[in-house]
Amino acid sequence: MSILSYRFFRCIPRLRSITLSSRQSSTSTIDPAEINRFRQLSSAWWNETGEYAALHSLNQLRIPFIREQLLQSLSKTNDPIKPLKDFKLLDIGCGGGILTEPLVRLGASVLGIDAVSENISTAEFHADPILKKDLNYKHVTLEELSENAEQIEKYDGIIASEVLEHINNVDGFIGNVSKLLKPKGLCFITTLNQTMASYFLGIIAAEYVFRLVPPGTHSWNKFIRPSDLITLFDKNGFTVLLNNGMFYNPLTNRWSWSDNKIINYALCAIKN
Amino acid sequence: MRQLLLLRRSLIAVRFSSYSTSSKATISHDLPNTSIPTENVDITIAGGGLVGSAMALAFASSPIFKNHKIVLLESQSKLPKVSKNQSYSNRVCALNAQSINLFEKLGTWDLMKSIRVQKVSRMQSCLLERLKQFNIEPRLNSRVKSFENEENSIRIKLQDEKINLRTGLLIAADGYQSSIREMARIPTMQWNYDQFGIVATLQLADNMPDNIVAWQRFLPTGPVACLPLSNTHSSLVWTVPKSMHKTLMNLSDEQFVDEVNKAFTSDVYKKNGIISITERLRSYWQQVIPVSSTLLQYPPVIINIQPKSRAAFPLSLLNSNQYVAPRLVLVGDSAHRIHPMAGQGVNMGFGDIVCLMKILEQAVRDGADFSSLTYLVDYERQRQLQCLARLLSIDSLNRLYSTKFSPIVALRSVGLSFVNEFSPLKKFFAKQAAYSS
Repeated sequence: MSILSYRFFRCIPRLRSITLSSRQSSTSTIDPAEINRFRQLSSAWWNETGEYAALHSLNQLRIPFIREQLLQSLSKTNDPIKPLKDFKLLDIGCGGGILTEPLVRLGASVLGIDAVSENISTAEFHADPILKKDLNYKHVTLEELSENAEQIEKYDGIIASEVLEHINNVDGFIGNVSKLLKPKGLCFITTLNQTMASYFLGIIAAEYVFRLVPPGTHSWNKFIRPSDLITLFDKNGFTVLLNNGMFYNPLTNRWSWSDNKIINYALCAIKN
Repeated sequence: MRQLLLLRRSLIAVRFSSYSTSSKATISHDLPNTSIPTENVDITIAGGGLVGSAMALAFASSPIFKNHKIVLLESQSKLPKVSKNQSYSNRVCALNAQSINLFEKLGTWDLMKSIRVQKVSRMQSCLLERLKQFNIEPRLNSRVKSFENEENSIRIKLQDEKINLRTGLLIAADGYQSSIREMARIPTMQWNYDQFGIVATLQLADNMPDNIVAWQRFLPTGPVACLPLSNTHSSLVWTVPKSMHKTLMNLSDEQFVDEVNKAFTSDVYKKNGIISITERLRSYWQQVIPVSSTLLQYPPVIINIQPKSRAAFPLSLLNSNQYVAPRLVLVGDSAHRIHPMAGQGVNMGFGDIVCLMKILEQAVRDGADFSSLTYLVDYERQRQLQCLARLLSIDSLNRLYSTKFSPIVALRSVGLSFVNEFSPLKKFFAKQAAYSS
């Protein structure tokens, strides 16, 4: 089990347990306590050496992965600074926007969605004003989004990074992704494998021995094997283009590609 | 040994110390003093010396950073002006291959007339001339008084309090006594030696059209080196024990010239016992491997030194434990300093620039904020490794020369004569010196 996931899971109970200070300003329309809280949450999400350090450093791997795959299959411009100009992307489970903002900086127009409304407010609070034109956040689930007729076949790329391990019905999830993707659109996944290694490191060691995350936050049954994921993609009308292992070194906080998919892996599939 | 342990600790500590920006992130947006206007810039470089101006030029000429606002601060009130008839200043440096490559990329190599050994003042004026083409002028009399991290920037107060800067990234190129490093409370490690480096500009006896070879002799008191400047002048770098430097500095110019010639040619500075061992070895090696004729070179004969060009520096090494902090980067001497030996220090500074630019451009390509700490840490890791290795090798070389313990003195003489006789090895060492940064 990677440090990434400890950090990821650790955040969820913590985010919910923070209580609001009830003092309110009577003259302002915006609750200053609320603003202060989002400021704190935002600096927690965006502290590159804090809880989410592994998600920040994962960008060094996943951004080039997403960028190169998108450019290879449907190159639109030759702009070296904004290579993803004119691409419409959807970031599922965007959290504080760690992956969303860089994609906008590369020129893409991105919608970030998250099931936790606090994450959306936090991401909106942090968003750089320069990026706002192409950056949208919405508190909505993928199911709800896929029922919206405007959203059907709208996106060139859909990203679900470190999200699949929380999903009950992966088959339905991929079906909804397929609805929202344009034909020949790409779907990017990074997630955890269902192996003995992820069971012992992620569940036993992290939850019961070292108590890095509260017991019960992980459900190993929800982790999915690459081979099963590929089958589900095939079934939903996708062709898997790439499937690589990822290795995290917690001492240096750096990720690297690996032949070994035993714990973390990434996958890219194209809609037929 | 203790120093070695300390050194190891600083290597290990490279990235276990955590940064906290969050504590300051809740500070209110109130201006500390509303009467001082604030200017928003992307990158601020503090220090308009060689490394600082080359850094500014690297940003200005990068296609990735061309739309960013760059500010170069210089605390002095004047910049060096160079005229053709100016006498040679005592500061020169021999550029290595990486630095030359950098200047080619920055478009200043032609301005520098493609000469490997450069006077500092001329390099400086070439860099400033090129900066002017990008509409960047150093802001004179601008010293950073204080700075603090804000949510997405650093706020800088300047000494003259005319304007505050809000910058995305602050680059400290303000020398080995960096006040910015001190304000950021970044600890350093320092080695001091009982040695001095004496530098001077020498006038050669003959007009040597092929005065292109750097010349070095290893004496028990320390190495003496001569770097070509022009057909008639060379630059001297002579390492001597503390006890010797005062005597040499108090000599008249004529007497000093005599001492330099002696150091180049005579055996007064060598120990007799050692000489005989190395001589015996030399003849042995000559039987095994014929000496390449190109290596037989006579040391230059000195007739005069440029008035007032003689200066002495205490030898010391300094390494900053961290090269980066949130939105702050140290480059050049503010991060690491070696004694002024043939400008090796400035080559390390140029190496910093090459590395930092590569990493910041990668950050932008990955869509990250260019001041992202995740990427800055990559710069620190790569440079600490390079610079510490270099500092350590210089440190051990110095130790080799500061001992009087006879077996070690014998060994080092033998070792160096081995290097001297075995030509491919010598070439290898020369190559290493040229390519390492």
